[in-house]
Amino acid sequence: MRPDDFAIDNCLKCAVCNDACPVFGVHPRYPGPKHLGPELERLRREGVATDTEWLEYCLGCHRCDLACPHQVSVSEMIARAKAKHRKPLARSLRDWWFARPGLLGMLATILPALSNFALSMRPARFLMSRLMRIAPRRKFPAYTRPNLHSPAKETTSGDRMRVVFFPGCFIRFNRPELGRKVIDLLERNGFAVEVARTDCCGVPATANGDEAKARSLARANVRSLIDHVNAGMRVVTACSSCGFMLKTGFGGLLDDDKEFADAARQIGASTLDIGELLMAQSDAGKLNTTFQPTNLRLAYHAPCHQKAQGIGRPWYHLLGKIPGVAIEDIDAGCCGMSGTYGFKQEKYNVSMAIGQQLFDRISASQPQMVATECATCQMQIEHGTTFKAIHPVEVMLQAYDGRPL
Amino acid sequence: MGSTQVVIIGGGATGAGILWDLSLRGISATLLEQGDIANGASGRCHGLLHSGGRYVVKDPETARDCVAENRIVKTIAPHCVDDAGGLFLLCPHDDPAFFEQWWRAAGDAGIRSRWLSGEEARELEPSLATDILGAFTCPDAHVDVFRLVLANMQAAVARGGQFHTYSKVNSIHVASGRVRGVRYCDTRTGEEHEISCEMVINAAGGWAESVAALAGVEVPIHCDKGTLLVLNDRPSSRVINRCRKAGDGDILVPAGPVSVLGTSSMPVPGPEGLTASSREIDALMQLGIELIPGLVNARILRIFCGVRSLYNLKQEGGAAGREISRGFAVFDHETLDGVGGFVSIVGGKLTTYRLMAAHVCDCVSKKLGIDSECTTAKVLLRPAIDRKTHRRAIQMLPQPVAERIERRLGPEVDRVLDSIEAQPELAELVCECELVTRAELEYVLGKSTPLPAHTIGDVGRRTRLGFGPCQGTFCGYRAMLAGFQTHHWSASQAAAEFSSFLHERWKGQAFIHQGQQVEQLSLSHDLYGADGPICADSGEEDGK
Amino acid sequence: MESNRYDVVVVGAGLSGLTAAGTAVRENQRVALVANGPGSFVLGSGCLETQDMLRSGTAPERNEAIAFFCEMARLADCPFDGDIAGGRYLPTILGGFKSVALAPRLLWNAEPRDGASTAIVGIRGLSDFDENFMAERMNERARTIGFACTYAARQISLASDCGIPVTTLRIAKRFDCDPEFRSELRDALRLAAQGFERILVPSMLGLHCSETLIAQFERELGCALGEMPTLPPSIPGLRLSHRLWRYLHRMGVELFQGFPVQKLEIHEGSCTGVHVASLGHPLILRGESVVLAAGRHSADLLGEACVELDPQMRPLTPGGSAMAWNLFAAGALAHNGACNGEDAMEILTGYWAAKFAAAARGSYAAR
Repeated sequence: MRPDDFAIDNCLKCAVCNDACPVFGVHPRYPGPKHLGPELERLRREGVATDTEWLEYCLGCHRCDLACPHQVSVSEMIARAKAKHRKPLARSLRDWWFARPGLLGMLATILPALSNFALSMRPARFLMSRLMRIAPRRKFPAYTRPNLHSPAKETTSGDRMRVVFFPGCFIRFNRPELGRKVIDLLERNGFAVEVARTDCCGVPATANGDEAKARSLARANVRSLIDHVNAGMRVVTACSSCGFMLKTGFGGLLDDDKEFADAARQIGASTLDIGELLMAQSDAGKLNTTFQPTNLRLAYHAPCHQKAQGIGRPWYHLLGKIPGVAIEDIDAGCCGMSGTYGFKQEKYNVSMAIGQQLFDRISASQPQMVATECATCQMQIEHGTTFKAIHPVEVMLQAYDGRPL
Repeated sequence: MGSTQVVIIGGGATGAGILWDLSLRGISATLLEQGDIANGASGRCHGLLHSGGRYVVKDPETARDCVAENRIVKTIAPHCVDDAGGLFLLCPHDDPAFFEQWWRAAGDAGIRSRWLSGEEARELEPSLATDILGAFTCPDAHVDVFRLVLANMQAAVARGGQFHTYSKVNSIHVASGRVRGVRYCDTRTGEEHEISCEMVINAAGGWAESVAALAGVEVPIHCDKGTLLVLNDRPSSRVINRCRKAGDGDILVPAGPVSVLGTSSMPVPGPEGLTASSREIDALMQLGIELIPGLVNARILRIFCGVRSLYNLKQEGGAAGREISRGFAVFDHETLDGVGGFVSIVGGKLTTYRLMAAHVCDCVSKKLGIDSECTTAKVLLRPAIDRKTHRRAIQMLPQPVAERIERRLGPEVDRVLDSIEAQPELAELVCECELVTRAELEYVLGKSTPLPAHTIGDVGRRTRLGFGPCQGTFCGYRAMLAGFQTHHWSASQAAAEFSSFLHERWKGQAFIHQGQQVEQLSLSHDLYGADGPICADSGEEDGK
Repeated sequence: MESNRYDVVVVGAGLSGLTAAGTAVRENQRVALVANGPGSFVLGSGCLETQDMLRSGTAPERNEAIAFFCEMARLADCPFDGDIAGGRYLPTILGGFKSVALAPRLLWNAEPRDGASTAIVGIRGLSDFDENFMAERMNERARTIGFACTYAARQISLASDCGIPVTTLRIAKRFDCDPEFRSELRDALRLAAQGFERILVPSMLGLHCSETLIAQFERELGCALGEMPTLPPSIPGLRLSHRLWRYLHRMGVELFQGFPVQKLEIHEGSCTGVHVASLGHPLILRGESVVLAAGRHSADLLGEACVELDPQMRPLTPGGSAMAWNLFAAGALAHNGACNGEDAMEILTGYWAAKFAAAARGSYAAR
């Protein structure tokens, strides 16, 4: 899968992408990635008007790209078409906000307690559902005062390998303490961590059809990160979607931008998922394995954007190294949340139908907790099952201290 | 035994144009074509509606004809034309003096053109090679040949014209120095029919010589083969020409969702049995890459050859294909050979088909003693769709499907919409590449349409089914089932139809030796069996 | 032990790659399977044709490989029926018959049986399959070949899909997860089956569900049931691929799906790395042995259009020496060019290449 070329010519119409598509599997009328992608793309190039509401139903999970035997970048074609799709006012307004979790987070964390209260109030949710088509059954994650900073200078000296942490909006505005745990975990494993002053990675903007916003975010992030990367530092992400976006050089959005194209690619080449990074440490014999014995039964769910990075399943293996942890790879497809997708009223049922297989398999496995790197996967799992979801970083960190989770 | 005033032999652009012209003049005519529409040169060309730019220097008369006809065809058949515009490129190794000559000659011929610098040209067409030095614009366009031929025929039928496809003329009755009638054979059933007539027009293109022989006269044509490649992409949105003395491979025409690159020129003995060599194909690609470097990654969908029939005056040491004028000639065999009522038209090109038809019809109507004028330049081949129908189409079908079906069927789209209204499942797409619905497929196969399809290939020519990347692997199968379901064919006939359709499609992909089409072809072979005739289903037939 | 080190790295997930991975893991190797996508066999029906069987290698080699494959398929919950000698007939997509040696069980059930009255059942709205066409053709072909069986066409209507275009892929997915749909389908089929000993349906009975579930469905249906191949997406092909992947996953094979291999590191006669074109930067897998089973892509990776193999199935340089002592070829590369439709050869070469790969060095038990 190469995100830098459209490769429409590679399509043999085999429809394996349709088989892989989670939406196609649950929605009887969804035309499927084969049609929305390469088939309509041919006509788009000819100038035929091909806009369709169905483009909005694409999850952006990239499973079609992974399944394609001939390297057609199906989801990219759909994303580009989605950006040109015209929506009615209510949804345009909603999606404008959804495209900007950075802005939303900044506003909501001015007075987080008030924001959380407002977002959970019944009347407010009723209005949001009516006016902006936001699914009333969804719980918004709580906002907290953002206080994630780079660690003090003393800890960044020495012969530790320096990395720059890209926290992403969820950690920054909803769970900064998770961000601190990421830093703690990295420090315990021999890294010196700096937190980058970065913006939203741009995945929600792309998913909501706002290419211009995604592009401006990409430029801002490149400016923030390029000096670190040029100095030889690796960029570390703890969120699969952020990691995916960075690794693709910001989705190829800056390919035509002479000033930023190379820098974006460089950053992409230097980005590592934290699981990937720790696995490399383990391979070099440098993983901190001072785990306290524990007794924990976990299920692991690989987020779609994690699979789409092609790094294997490092967290599954890492957690398995903790003595007393029994871990099962659920491997039951997409959870259905896909970031902002599951919050949309018109897509709520699709989202839950997609996740049903995962919910059932988790129930059958009866773990104590489900470990998964993606915040919205966690939300979906907790919404659709009675099980708690947790970031693998937290499991590993807790294992050092022997504290219960 | 049928009877008519005029029999036209040959269902290409010229023959169809003649049928329409005659029908407008109130002269009854029947067209007989041995294959399906545009079987010969018409159906195997670039589909380029010349601005005249290619002829300004060498053949100014033809160029002027093209200028006029270009405008006319765009007016009378807008639904067949994609008025993309064109560029004549000055490449680094080409003769700049020719460029100058071209500019002056274009002005003389009346071609609207302006000069662009290399950079400006690349702004319009980013895929052009960076070493292009400059370009002239011109009003080149792409014309969908099948649609154009169909349009002429359908318009003629509406005014009383008749035609028969799969009808091969095997005898022309001449008695007392006059043509009396023809006998033809229905190649699908083997039945023979007779038509008596006053005049026969030989518009058989590459077969003109053999048809003329049926009447005992000679028509000296020279067959010249051109190979063309269909590419699964649109690297340019305009027609790209090379501004030099006409040579091989120097035209790229965007044709719907694909492009056509070509062409070559070599003499061949006759209009059949044409093949392309892989050396020819490589050479064409190389030339294309000089203009658009990105073509090196292009997927070749299909390779086909067409034959041009050129007329040469009987001279010792006739010139090679390209030097012969692309002009046309009308042979009045009464004057030339003493066979009354027999007229042949040879030579010419697609762009001037209407003009050729006009000349022939003028000649023919004079001979019939009818005082008439050619009005084809002013009459629309198809009325426009009214807004009510358009709104209905947009409501019932997704936008791209509606757009396509309107362009293909025009006002007839109402019939298809009616059937979808009655049976909503008919809105299903049978050919996903070219957006052909089941309803349209059944309409085209049905008997109520003016030009019914008899084979899956015919369906393709009317709807573009099978013209996309899968080259009929998927949609051809569905078309076969549709033909069976509408009682067109029995099950074994349907399988046989599909077999011959596939073979035709496979032939066109046979010489592509690299790229994704090879994989696509493999897929097709695996599904339907590559060894031997596929009806035998991998050789289990006949006691194996 | 490094996370990216394996005993055997298999490149490619066609029939040869999957067989190789399955063989290697049975030889107690730690195996990684890396593939861009499923192999081209998913577009076919998963049947192993007789003529392929006869063309592939000598009898003992072939029989061992095929027997292994059948066993693996059985363990993967996708059992095959038939026998290596072949020569039985199964319906084709054009309503004819082709000679098949082995086929997945449900497809095998479509074998013509003398004296049997069979209904071919289509579904209203399923336009890729026409039961009347199939029945008419198959009756004609059966008469020509000499089978004494008759086919009649029937159609069922599924209430839930009215007006929406139906495809076998959608039906299969619903079959997998919706028990109510399965009941509806079963009841409709039961009605259509009245008066017939057996019914044949277009292949659509689930992609991921278990054989047990399907067997239960058949029992509740109350008559013999077989599947027929259709246009791609081909359910039996996809089903076989899914089940084999699941099996390999269960057996501890580490699966890397979705990215092509961009380079093989060959250094001084040894293959030291498999570079996977993952996002951002390549993932490098290191195998004690590497089995190259990547179809058309294999030749590109080796930089040679056509390669000879040594008796241990190692590709040779033009000079005649093995490119790498630990690099083995299976699939298209191993039988020179002919890529698709040679399923038996794929299995044979996958099996033996993996055997050689496993034997090339000592092995240690998988984790």
